[in-house]
Amino acid sequence: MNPSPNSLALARLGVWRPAAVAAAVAALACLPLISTTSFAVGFLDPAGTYAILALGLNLLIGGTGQFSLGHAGFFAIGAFTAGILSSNDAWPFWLAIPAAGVIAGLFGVALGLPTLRLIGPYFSMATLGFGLLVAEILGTASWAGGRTGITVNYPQAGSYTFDELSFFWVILGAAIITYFLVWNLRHGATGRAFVALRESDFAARACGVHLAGYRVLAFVISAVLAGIAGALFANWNGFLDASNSVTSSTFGLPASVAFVAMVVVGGLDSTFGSILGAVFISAVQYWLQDRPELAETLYGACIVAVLLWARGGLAGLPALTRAAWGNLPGRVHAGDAHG
Amino acid sequence: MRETLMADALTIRDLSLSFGGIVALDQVNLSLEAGSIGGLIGPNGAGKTSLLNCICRFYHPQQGTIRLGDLDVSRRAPHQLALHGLARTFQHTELFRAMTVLDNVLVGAHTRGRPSVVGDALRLPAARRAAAAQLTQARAMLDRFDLTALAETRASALPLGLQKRVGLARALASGPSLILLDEPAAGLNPSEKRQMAGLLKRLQVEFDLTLLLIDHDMDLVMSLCDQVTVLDFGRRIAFGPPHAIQRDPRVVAAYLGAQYASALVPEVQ
Repeated sequence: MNPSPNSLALARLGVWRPAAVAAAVAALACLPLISTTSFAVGFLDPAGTYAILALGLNLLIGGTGQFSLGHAGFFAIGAFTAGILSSNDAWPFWLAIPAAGVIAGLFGVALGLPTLRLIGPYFSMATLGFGLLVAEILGTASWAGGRTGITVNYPQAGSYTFDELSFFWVILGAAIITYFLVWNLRHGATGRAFVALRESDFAARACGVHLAGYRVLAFVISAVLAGIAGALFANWNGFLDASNSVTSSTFGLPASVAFVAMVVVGGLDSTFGSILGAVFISAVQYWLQDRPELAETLYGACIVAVLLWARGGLAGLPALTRAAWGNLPGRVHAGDAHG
Repeated sequence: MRETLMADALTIRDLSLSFGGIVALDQVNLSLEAGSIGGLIGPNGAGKTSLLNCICRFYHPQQGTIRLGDLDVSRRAPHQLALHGLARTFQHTELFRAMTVLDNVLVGAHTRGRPSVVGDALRLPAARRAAAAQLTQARAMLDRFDLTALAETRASALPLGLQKRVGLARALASGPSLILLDEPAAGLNPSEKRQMAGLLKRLQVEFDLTLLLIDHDMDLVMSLCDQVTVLDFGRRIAFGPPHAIQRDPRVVAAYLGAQYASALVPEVQ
């Protein structure tokens, strides 16, 4: 019944698509010019940062169907790697951020290899344990700043020093590149292999799909992107506090749950949906920042609602709305004929 | 030991497989000439699917060897066997249900695309050429199986008969020389069964295939197969051309029980 939202959007935009994309990017790029610093730190920077992380998780959760409850661990590893590398201006931010991705990726390999045969709840539990472990270690290690935390200087490029507002351009650029890469992966042979393994690993292997290779690959890519997101976070937030990190909504279990919520609420089958999900959850966290428990309740409810009534998530809403309005003539997709 | 002039596509020697104390396969031998159709029959639980799973390396037999042509399959991982010309279909189709028919067949052509993650992510020219070739291959398969009109339909939305056809198209998309078919006709109605038999025969000639086929439908097995192997409780109890197998008292006994068999086939005594 559900035509793919992507194909519908494509068909309706037609030749205007490149123009629409350019206009949207231009509008986003203007945001720092009209925003306040507190809005940038509270909403713009987190939304962009988490979009990168959610795009990586989209490959893992939406592609291979493996739900990780530990990606806050990779986010934290990336944040502290970047924070420590760039303290005392040792590494410039544009080197520290990829380095954080590499380190998070190495942890991804270390965790992905032993857990690749675990599926469903077993995989979720293993990653949950990893997330708690990372948070616990960071919370007690002196090199992670302890109670005083780590202060990260404003990132510099040559003589220019970024602030919370202008750093959004860096985040936006990284997010656009990430979207391009992840979209290509999901719509190419790699993405098909991920989904094939999810649907039937026997049949996928019989077709020549390397189970271990692709499962670990999806996990490592998601870890790298979580690490890069963490490194971006370190730069715009300017401060890393690992005390109480197990329960913190930055590095702890609540963060891991929020990341899963972004992907699920955005729509598991849609790459763009993960960006929508990250923006949505970030918005909820921003407008309910004085009531974090209410924010968590709200996106918990959103996960339930999406799984029960709207599997397509935010990305599937246009199609769902049309279905609710009754199939309007001329808008019936060819796919509707079956079913 | 038999030396053949025709190369054997598949040679299984002394294959034994057990799970804990349960013996699934007990010193099974089987060989299949290239270009022939072999049948594998036996009562439920006889070990037929276990044998296919050993060939695909999903199961690891404790003893014995399996060769695809000259290749000892124990030297390869399951996913590498597709490159050596092995493909299979499944009893319960095992289609990628959430994917479209076209995508199912594209996964079948996975090894033909020489997949590269970096190439995919950056849409490098080599990856795009490979993807285009893969698409051409998959579309040709859909054409061959009259599935073109259903290319964008989700596999889960298809009736069983069509799902089986998609499974075949997916298996053929890798360009195999040997296909293992696990109950291709099960669940089909009589006319679909006849169609399937005709299709398998035509495919075998058209693509120069060797087929190993499990099925409970005796008409299908007897009409298609050059040689039939019969398993019972993991043992090979008979082997030979279909007309001889049909009369073999051990086979009849395995299916019907000895007392009924003696009534039907007097020479059992």
